[in-house]
Amino acid sequence: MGKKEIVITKGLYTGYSDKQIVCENINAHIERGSLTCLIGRNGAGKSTLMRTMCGFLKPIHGEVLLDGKKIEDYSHNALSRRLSVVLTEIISEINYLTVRSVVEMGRYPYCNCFASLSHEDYDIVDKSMKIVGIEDLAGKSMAALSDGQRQKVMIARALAQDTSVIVLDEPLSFLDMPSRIEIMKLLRDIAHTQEKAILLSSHDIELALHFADRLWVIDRNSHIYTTNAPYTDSSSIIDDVFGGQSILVKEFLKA
Amino acid sequence: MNKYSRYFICGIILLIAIIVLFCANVAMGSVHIPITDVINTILGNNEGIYDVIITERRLPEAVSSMVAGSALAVCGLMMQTLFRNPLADPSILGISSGSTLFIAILTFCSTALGIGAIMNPIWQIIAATAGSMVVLFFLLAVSRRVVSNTSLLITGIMTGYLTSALVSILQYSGSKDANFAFVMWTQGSFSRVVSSDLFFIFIIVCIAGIIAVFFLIRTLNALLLGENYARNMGINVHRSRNIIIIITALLTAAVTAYCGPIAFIGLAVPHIVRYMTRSADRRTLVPLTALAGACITLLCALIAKMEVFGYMLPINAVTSLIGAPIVIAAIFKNSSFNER
Repeated sequence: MGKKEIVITKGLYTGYSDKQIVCENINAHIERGSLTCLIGRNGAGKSTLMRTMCGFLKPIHGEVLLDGKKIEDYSHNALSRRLSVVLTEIISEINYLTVRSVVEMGRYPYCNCFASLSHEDYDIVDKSMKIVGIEDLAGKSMAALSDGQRQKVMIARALAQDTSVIVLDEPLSFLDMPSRIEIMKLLRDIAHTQEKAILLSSHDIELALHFADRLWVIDRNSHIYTTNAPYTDSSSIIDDVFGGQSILVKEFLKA
Repeated sequence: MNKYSRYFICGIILLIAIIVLFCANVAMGSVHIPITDVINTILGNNEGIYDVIITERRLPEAVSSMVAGSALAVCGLMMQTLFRNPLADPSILGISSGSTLFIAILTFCSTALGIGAIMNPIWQIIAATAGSMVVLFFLLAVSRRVVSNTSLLITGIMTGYLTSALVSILQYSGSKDANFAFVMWTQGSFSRVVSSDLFFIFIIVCIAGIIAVFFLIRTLNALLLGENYARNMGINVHRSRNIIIIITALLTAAVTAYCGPIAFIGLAVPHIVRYMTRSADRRTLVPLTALAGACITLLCALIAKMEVFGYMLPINAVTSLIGAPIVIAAIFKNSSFNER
């Protein structure tokens, strides 16, 4: 297993081109066995950073190191065996797929071009559905699920990919409060029991403060700093993220 | 397990239907051949009077309609997956319109030059293949530049409009004879090439293309989740897109060149199969679509031959007449399935 830090960013600049830099000089890392949450306001650059962490966007300067190797130096297949993603987009194309066949897609990096799975693959698929607690839904079609259940299926799919890192971009966006709590709890448990390094982005600070082991905070000047639980200075974190509006937010949280 | 047996039964039913329709296709025609003779000749133990008709004309014709239908259907499935659009089909990329344009140029120019409309199949095949290749290379060049599939889709549709505008200019300025010859070509036919040596090239290209699609099943399934997810599942999205376009173009070009622009099979068959199986999983859809494409095209060819109105119908009219209502029905049924 080696050292705990599995993904490290060194002097990372994210953005779309030299002239469109979103966040500057990010030096942060995520660890095995812990849930890291990236928090920031909408438009603060969360998605850009997440896309860079997934390898979808190239860093403008600096580097993202996964297991000590630059993320863009991995082949498609090699990267897909080390890092899996859960994305925000809602996909209507998979409505006619069963839950099981969506989770089975997590095994695609390991199987042949006909997508035929081995017994071992099926075991991993079953195990992933069990961890997430959707084994009863296996035969249902995706169209029949609630948003929370769909999100769990996508998490099970990422688990089936058997990677040491899971990156989730705004996994809580379309969910109601009980489902949000459930998903956060689930992710924390997965990180702790499966020794995964999980990074998710959210603008739900309260949940992040409550569940995350580590925080990446984008403050209102688009600077990023990291902090570990327990968060003794949670109100200053809220200040950093929301700036002037923080008093209102704090009042709201107290109520 | 229940689900898999359902797919299996669908496959068996389609196979039986293909065999029955195939034999019926061989038996039907200007001369009706007794079914026992058909079966005997296919099994290779007959020296009967119909032997020559069967082996020289009817069998190649049935084989070409089967293979062409299968090829168009899997192309339709690939296009619908790649563009994430249920209305996509092989013609949507403008590839078959490229063929049509070149056939139009061949027909109208040859008449204008006073050598009479060239209806030689070999020249038509060369023209149609050249036309589709021109569009194909154009699309690949565009594909290198544009990132999104939607832009590519729109480029394909625009190419289609452009070529059909050019074709109508040619038609408008062309002679009566040339127009007649051209319209005959656009009606489609499976019997055009059976006598030529090129028949085997057609069959080989189509079967190779259809087999190639089976090697793309994982890619197609992954693309259902969108390009980002597909990339995260180890799929080289850009390369896969080019491979899918090239295979579709080759199959469409082959079918259009040899049989004319056959409408509707590529659009309708994937919908029918999706309705039959209630599944979007390409592991079941690819093989079943290939079978259903062959089956439905054989059925259309048979109806075209039945002389319902006292004469043979053009195949293109039959595929649309059969295909359109089935698609509408499948969409109605599917929407109720969607809400459940």
